Amino acid sequence: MTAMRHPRVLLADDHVLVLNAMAKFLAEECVIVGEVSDGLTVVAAVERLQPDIVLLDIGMPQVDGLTLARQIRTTSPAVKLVFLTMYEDPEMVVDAFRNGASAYVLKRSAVSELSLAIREVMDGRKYITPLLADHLVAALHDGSELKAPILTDRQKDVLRLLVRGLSMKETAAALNVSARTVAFHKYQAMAELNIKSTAELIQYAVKHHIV
Amino acid sequence: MKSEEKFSKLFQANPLALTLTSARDNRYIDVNRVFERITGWERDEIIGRTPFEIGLWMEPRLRAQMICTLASGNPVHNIEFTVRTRSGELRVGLGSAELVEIDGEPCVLSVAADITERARDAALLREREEHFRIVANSVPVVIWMTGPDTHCTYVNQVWLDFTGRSLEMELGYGWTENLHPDDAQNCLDCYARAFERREPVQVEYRLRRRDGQYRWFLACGVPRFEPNGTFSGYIGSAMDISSRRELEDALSALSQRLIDEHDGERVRLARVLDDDINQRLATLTPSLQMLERRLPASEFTLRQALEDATHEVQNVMRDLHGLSAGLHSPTLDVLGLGAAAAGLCRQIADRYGVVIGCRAEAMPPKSQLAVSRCLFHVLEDVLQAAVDVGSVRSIDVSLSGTVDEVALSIHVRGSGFDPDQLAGVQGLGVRSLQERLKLVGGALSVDTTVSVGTTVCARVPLPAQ
Repeated sequence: MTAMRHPRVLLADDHVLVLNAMAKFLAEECVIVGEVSDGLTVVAAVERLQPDIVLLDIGMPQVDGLTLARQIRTTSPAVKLVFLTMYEDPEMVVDAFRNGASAYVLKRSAVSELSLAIREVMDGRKYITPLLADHLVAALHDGSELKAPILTDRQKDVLRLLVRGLSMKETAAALNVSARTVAFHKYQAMAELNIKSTAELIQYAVKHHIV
Repeated sequence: MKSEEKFSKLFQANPLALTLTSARDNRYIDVNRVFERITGWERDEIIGRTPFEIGLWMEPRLRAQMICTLASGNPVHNIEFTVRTRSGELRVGLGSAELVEIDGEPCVLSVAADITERARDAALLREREEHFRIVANSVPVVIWMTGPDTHCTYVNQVWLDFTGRSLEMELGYGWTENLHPDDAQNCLDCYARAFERREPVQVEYRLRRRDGQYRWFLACGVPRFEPNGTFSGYIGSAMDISSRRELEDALSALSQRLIDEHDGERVRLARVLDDDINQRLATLTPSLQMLERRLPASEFTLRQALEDATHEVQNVMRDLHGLSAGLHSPTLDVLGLGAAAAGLCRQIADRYGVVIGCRAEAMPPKSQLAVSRCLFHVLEDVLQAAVDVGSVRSIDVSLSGTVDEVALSIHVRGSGFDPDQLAGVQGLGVRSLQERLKLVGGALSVDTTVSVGTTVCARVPLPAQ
């Protein structure tokens, strides 16, 4: 963050009291461009207000913060995402960064930490609250949920045939399963890889030599 | 050797009782040694006398009819008759007779076997069968029997009264016509398996009553063996358990409702803690910190007090979140079953120092929340039970999905634990897990081997979307 310019921040949280408190606290060092308490309008607000940072809660009704992060990453890839949440599970943290987060801060963290996180993000770095360090180290040690996405053999079989240009029906016939089963494996693979389109899936397969 | 001598030798040596009598006056011309042994009469005593004179036939009319038949040119075969021996004992014979001519005289050559024991056994058997039928028809349950070929050979009057059909209609495989179409195949499969292994069988099925209503029956049977070990079929009983089933169904529905309510209450409470109380507390810390910033440095006592208060609020928030997450996993709602299961396994492993491996693939979409919540609670209960009651070496958790279902397998290595011990977990037990799974159409199986471990498997079908 430069001393000349305060970052433009959009606050997104369904708890209005939290929004107000954060807005007051950050007002001294940020430009609060907007406050959104409805998950369904966040993406549109980001496109309209063009903030540097979106301060985002995860647990929001209708659309959760992680889903919103995926959408914002697609529509406004330059916008930095700072999660401010109650959720402390390492799985959430990992998924947040997998979906483009730049920082992860807990609501019970000291608010001064939030200022620090915003500065770090504006300087192009990532930030995770030290309150989760123990959890994350333990999870990394265990490794079970922090591993890279892994496709099953069946998902790879489906992917190989789709890469070769076979239709769902042809793939089903080749694998001697129903088209519904092929669709199931394809969409499971897309969910695992956090990919939204068949074209992206094919690109992934080619890039990772699943051909 | 002359033919007369040959005949005499054959006559005497025959293992059956033989007599030669005159067709004109019924007097004995000759009898063999077997006849003497059976009747007690010696040859010399009766030659020249008639069977009527010595009172041999209990029913002389039968002997007279036999002579008439022979006189009309027809042989007599296999007539059963009773004789009184010289000592007065009654014996049963099975005999045949032919008219022969000896030295120009018409004679009756009779041959008879002593079937007294056989007849006695047959009468005894008839008597026993009659007793069995009386008992079988007087008990308030169905009695059934089959032959070694699985065909039904008997059902008692209770069955016939229930179905309103005749015995002839029920024999063989006729009885299966009364089974509910949804239960027939399973019932026949159970019987076939038991027959193949000669094992006791127990099966529940619905049976159509004479008024068309179906009632639940519990049938039990055991294999029957002859004294020489030959398998001779099954014998069993069946009783109407409809009332019991209705009670079980009512209990099951109640349990499911309680589980549903309990889960709903946990979610509600978790949300109150995290989404209401904790969020309000979250607004306090910025205010406290702003206040602290604005105080002059000289007010260090007041600043310290504000800092302590902020830490206390943060600690309360942490504890409330822990409490909330224990009641309901937010990860389950946001990231789905695989991530929530991995997180739970890690927490239990950290807390109890147990190695828990967790593998999840092809998990149901987040929209299948009921299925995910159900399997998550099953995993939670079983892991807790395993670390509470068993000497656990390690635990493997596997979650795998297909297009049609999700399967959860928990293999606990260690001393193994009795599934009933699950009852100690949060007041829940295997029964409760089963009821929980029933809510989403799933099923549970538990396999325990002492000193090896316990494997709990739950399968839930995925509703079409």
